[in-house]
This record gives sequence, structure tokens and C-alpha cells, in this order.
Amino acid sequence: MEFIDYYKVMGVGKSATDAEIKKAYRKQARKLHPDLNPDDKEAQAKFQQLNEANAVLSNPENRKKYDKYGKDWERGEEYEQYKQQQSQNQRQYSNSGQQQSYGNFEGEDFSDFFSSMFGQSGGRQSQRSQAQYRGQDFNAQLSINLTEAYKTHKKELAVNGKNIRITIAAGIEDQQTIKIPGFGAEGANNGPKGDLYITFSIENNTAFKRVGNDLYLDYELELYSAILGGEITVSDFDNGKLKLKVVPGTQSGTKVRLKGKGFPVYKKESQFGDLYVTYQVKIPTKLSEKENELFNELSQISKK
Amino acid sequence: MESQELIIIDVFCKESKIEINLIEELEDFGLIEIYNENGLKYIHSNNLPQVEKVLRFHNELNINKEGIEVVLNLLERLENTNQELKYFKDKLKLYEY
Repeated sequence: MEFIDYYKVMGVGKSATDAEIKKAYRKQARKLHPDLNPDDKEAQAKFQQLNEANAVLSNPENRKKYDKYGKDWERGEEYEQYKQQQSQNQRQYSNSGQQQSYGNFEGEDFSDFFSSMFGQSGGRQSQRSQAQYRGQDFNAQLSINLTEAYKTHKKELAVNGKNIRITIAAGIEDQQTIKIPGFGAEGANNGPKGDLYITFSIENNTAFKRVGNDLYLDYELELYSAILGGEITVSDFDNGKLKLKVVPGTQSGTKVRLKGKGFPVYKKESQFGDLYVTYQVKIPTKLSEKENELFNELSQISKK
Repeated sequence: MESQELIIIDVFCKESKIEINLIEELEDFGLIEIYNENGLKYIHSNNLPQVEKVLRFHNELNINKEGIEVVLNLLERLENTNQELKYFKDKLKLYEY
């Protein structure tokens, strides 16, 4: 557990007045507020720390205790005594606080340091200053692989001790968030429940690369097919066999577009992106004596 | 299909401890949507997250209506830019070996 310098978090000096603290808090909140920093975990963590700092520094009693014991929170008899008393006092100063913090975003837990000094309520007033009617939203992360993302499938997850079965539509994208309505926290006074937001992290377990709905595949083309042309068979993502004609004199890096053989388009049935096959001409590294002889002969011919 | 609850504005305002005038002002300005049915005004539950977000900007960050509109537009632009950035990052990965 680390000591947190709440003055530093707030960006004020130790002698800051209440007005300066209030001003600094507002300024920082306008920068770090989660509504202004969607998907930015770092900003959200900083905002949480800012709210903690505000709960401590804008409450005269908390600030006094923090100034007195803050740095020595883990040693010293006085602090131990204080810790024993804190549970009795908690209610008292949780009602006496003057401060108001913003928002009530999921994951807004207290740091260990804060909880250790001030307990879980810690003098913070009810956080939601306004809109608390609707239940809180929950956020979850779900990892699936690219093969799973290719087909519509069902998955069961445990969210806050409740098992839910969701259908993941084919074509879901990496970092895409879907909303499961009504699977958040209960609302207050018959208010609607919050929602569950699931963000997908898609791991590529294949040789294909995905860009949007298009797939890209490198194909090692034999030197002789590249020079003389021929026919090759390529497996698409779904293991379907595709026969491709290679024209004589195909260069390394040549790209072939196979329309509609890419990734399914999310929630658009029977629509697919394209598959791009890039030929990488394979130069033989070990030549037999005969091959070497023939290549030399070819080389001589080409010089003529 | 997603079910939609209609929430009577008076109830929402009472529970959220806000003035009805504020909701009406925000609607007039086009920041939130309100529905009229049988002489009563409602908010669709699907729109509640947006209504709450606008209220947080207004009440917690003291942003006025004009400011909220600018912020919402910029956030939308940011989201589009992030999506584009992701697309180009994925495309760049094609050239990584």
C-alpha cells in the first residue's frame, strides 16, 4: 500500500485555502471527468484519485488527520490509536463533510491507502449529485479469438454472480462494445436498471490479418509457378478451397482480391468483406547440383 | 428487439432531484429528446444514459448548454477519429513481419 500525496494529486500546496482546493478540484475534474475521457482507463483512475483527494482535503477534519498522520500512516502509536477509533468516528464525519465529489462511475473504489485511513465511507457524501434514478452500468471485458468472431455464437458469462447467456453476432470487431440492456445494477425507487457493456478483445489465432471486414493472407508462391504460371489452391477463413490462376511472370508482392471471401459484416447477414491474397515468391535456398547447373545455364542465356 | 420503458419526466426529475425546467431547457436546445403522449412528457429509457450524461456535464462540470453541445460534438468526432485510427493501425500491421 502506497502513500498518496493528495496535495500533489490536486495540484495545490500544503497551505492551500479551501477556496484554492475547490478551484483546483473543479479544474482537474474538467480535465479528467470520465464523460470527457471515454475508454481512457488512466484518466478514470486519476479522476478516482482526485475524488479521494477532494474527500480528504475539502473536509477540515479529514484534512487535519491526513496532515497529521498521512505520511506515517503505517507506523506510530498515535496512528494505531486513531485507526482503532476510526470506525466509531466514521459515521460522525461522514455526515459532517462539506465536500461534494462528482459522478459515480463503476470501479470508483477507494484506494487501500484511503480506506486504511478513513474507512470505506471516509467522509464522502453520497456521490451521485444528480442522476441516480437509473441503476449503475456495469462494464465487462470478454476475450474471444478471431475464429470465434467469424461465426455467430452464444457465450455464457458470470457478471456480478449472475450467469447470463449472450449471443455474439458474427463480425464483431476488436474493442467493439455491445450493450446488454437491463443487466446493470438495480435502479433507485423503481428506476430502470442500468445496462451491461461488454467490450471485446479479439485475439488473432490464425494466419489471416483482419482490417475492418477485409482479410489479408500471405501466400508463399513457388518460384516456378511465379515464372511459368499455374494454378494454386488457397484455403479461405472458413477452410473453403479456392482455386486461383497464377499468371506467368507473377511478381512477389502481387495482390489478388477475392470478393466476398473476407470477414462477415457485423449484423449484416450474408455480407462479407474481401480476401486479399499477397504472393510472396519463394526463392529456393538449397539447390541440387543439377538445379545449380540449370540456373547457371539460364543465367548465361539471359545475358545473351 | 430491445424493450423501451417510458419514464414520466416528473418522476425522473423528482428522483434525480432536478428541476423540470432544466429538462425542458435542455430539450429546447436539442440536447435531449422528450416524447409527448396523452398529454404527458416522457423520456425513453434508452435515452436515459444520454440524458444523465448531459445532466452531469451541466451539474457537475458547470458547463452551459452551448458548451455541452460543443463537447458532445467533439466527443463524437473523437470517437470517429479513434475508429479511423484503429483501422489505420490494423492496416499498418499488415506490413509488420
